[in-house]
Amino acid sequence: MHTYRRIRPCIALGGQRLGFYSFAILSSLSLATAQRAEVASPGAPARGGLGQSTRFDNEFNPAISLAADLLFDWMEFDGPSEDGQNLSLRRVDLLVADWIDPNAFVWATIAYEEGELGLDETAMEYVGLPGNHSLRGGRFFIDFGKQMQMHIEQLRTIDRPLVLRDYLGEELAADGLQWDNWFGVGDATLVRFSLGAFSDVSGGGHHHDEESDEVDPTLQVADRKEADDLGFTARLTAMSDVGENGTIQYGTSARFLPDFSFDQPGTDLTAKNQNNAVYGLDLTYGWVSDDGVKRWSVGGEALLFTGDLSAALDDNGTPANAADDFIVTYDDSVTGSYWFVDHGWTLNDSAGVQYSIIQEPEVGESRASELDLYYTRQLSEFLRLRVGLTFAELQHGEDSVRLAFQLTGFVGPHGHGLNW
Amino acid sequence: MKTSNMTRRVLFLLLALVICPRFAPSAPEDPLTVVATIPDLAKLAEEIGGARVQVRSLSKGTENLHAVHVRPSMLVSLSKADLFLEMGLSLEAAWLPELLLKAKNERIQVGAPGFQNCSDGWDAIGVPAELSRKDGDVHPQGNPHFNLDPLGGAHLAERVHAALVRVDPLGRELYDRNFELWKKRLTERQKAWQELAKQLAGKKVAVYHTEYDYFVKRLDMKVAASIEPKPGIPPGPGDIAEVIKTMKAEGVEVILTAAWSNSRLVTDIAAKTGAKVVELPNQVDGASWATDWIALMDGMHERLATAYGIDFKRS
Repeated sequence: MHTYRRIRPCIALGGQRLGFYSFAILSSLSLATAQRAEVASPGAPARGGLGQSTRFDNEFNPAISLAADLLFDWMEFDGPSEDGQNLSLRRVDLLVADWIDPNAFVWATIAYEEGELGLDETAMEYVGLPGNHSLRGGRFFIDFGKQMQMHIEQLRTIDRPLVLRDYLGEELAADGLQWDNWFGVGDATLVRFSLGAFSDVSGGGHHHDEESDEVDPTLQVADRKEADDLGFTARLTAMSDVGENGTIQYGTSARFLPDFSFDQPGTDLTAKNQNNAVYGLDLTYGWVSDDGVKRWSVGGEALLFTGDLSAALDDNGTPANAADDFIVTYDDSVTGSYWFVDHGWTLNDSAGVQYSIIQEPEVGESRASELDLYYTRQLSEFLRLRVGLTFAELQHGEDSVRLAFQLTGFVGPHGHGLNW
Repeated sequence: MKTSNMTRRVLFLLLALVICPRFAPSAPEDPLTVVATIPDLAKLAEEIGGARVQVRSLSKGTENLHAVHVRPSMLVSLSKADLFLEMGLSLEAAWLPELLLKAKNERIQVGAPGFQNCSDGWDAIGVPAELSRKDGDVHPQGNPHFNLDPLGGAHLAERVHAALVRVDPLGRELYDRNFELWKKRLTERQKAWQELAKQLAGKKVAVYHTEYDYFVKRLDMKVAASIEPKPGIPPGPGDIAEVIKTMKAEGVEVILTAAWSNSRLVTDIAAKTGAKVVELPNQVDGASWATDWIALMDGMHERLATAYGIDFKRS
């Protein structure tokens, strides 16, 4: 159309042939432009080609890998819960990862866990910034302490320590952005820090009374919020060589949830303007013999969980009348920790003990603890058998003993980056 | 206007300040920072690089190279390196790639002038016909332990020399001179190794892992049994019984093992078969006498000779 309008003055001037040639030249130029990219319908966004390949080529395929985690356990409860055994495919991770271009790579973890299939992580990491800065965006595990970055099959024990499960969640992946940087101090120390901002970093970190038939208020984070109401994480850690055979790591972490509400399901009851934070200190020392065979690791983390920790529905003394119910929240500070000792005596055998104790984030003084004894045998580099014995004590709840066998297999280049 | 004496002195001083630095000995340059994955490469870089290099090895000579203990200082070293030397053939695949990524040192990334894969051009043995983990912990490009091949040192030294010249062309004269001296030392010892090889030819050994395959092959010996049924797979009772049976049937007199695999199991198998256990290093610095690559080879030849009652003198 625009072309036709331009031609009209040529025709009006008596240059009909000139106008025709102009039309032909302009038309052929626009056709050549369209053929530089894949063919698109009019109005469709222009996109570059598929990078020297077609839709059906296998070149430039991403790396694909799998981790499968089977669990057989037997539990005995000191209370009304039924004793017995369970055999489950606890988790399967399908990991896809590759470079997008020289400055960015992407990974995605699709996970099957306890009967549900979901997207665990999908994130891009941009490493083209100057120095050692990098920027990560998408859905990924938060950077807190020593273990929250890890998938469950990467842990030293069968389960994450009690304090981490209870204060932060079994796993805590969130949608957000994270800035990372590291620098060396001298020749033998490196310092790393990260700052993250997330849309919802609540995870599952609040206590739910599983024995009760009542439904507690649930934690809700608004979809849209002010910038300073986003969830934040921060971590600062340093690692140093210790002599010829040792490494020490110490760090501090924080997770802030500045604004959320407790909503009672099935009602309009809500308690707004809630906030809480988790702070952590961690210390780990590792020693390896000269031949790399014998290994010792000791360490732990201490956490403080503070703010609006949980909520309950108060029936105002009139259980039959729901109209006067209200939500009561618990503004408190609780602490918890875990400590472990781990020893490997061959390349394939290791064992350890881990103890975790928490103040439960509910009203009143209530404690829970877990003592884990575990043995790990690497049947090969990619197949691992673990036996664990766990003694759990709950001040308000059933004590239990669990004997568990975990078999984990890895196929392909199943890695999650530098574990630091 | 005539220039005063003071002005002339000042002008002369200024001229001297401009001219003299050109003729003064130049300040010594900072040494080239070289990081190598294993001590074999590090020592070669020191011997060829001389005073122009400052070298660090990431692994210790005593470590199992498939499970190197990664430490903070490694990342710091890699971030500062001018030249990085790796063995390649996926020897360092379990621990190195993430370190290189996080180091973010453009000078030493794959393809950069400061990156040297020392297996370039090496004709590897044990290249799997098909790739599958059912064959154990196989290396896709072949057996990576070619630092233990009596001809491997020359190949590694050539790669190290080429890398040093590429990254530091001003040092070429020194590097060429040191490389020639090293080759001369090597040639002298190779004669003794070749003489020993004639006496060892045809003899059979058992090994724990595939790390000595190049060494055994070059000596024209044969690996009759491997205690690991497949690379990286610990042996079960059935595998051990099979190894003992084979060793007895084939008359195997020696079991070769590294320090990391020299366990009670190896001692038990030796006792049941009458074989001698010969513990060999798998890298430079893997034993007190393995102070450089030529000394490593010398010592390995000597220990094997002693096991068979053959007279052999180290340099």
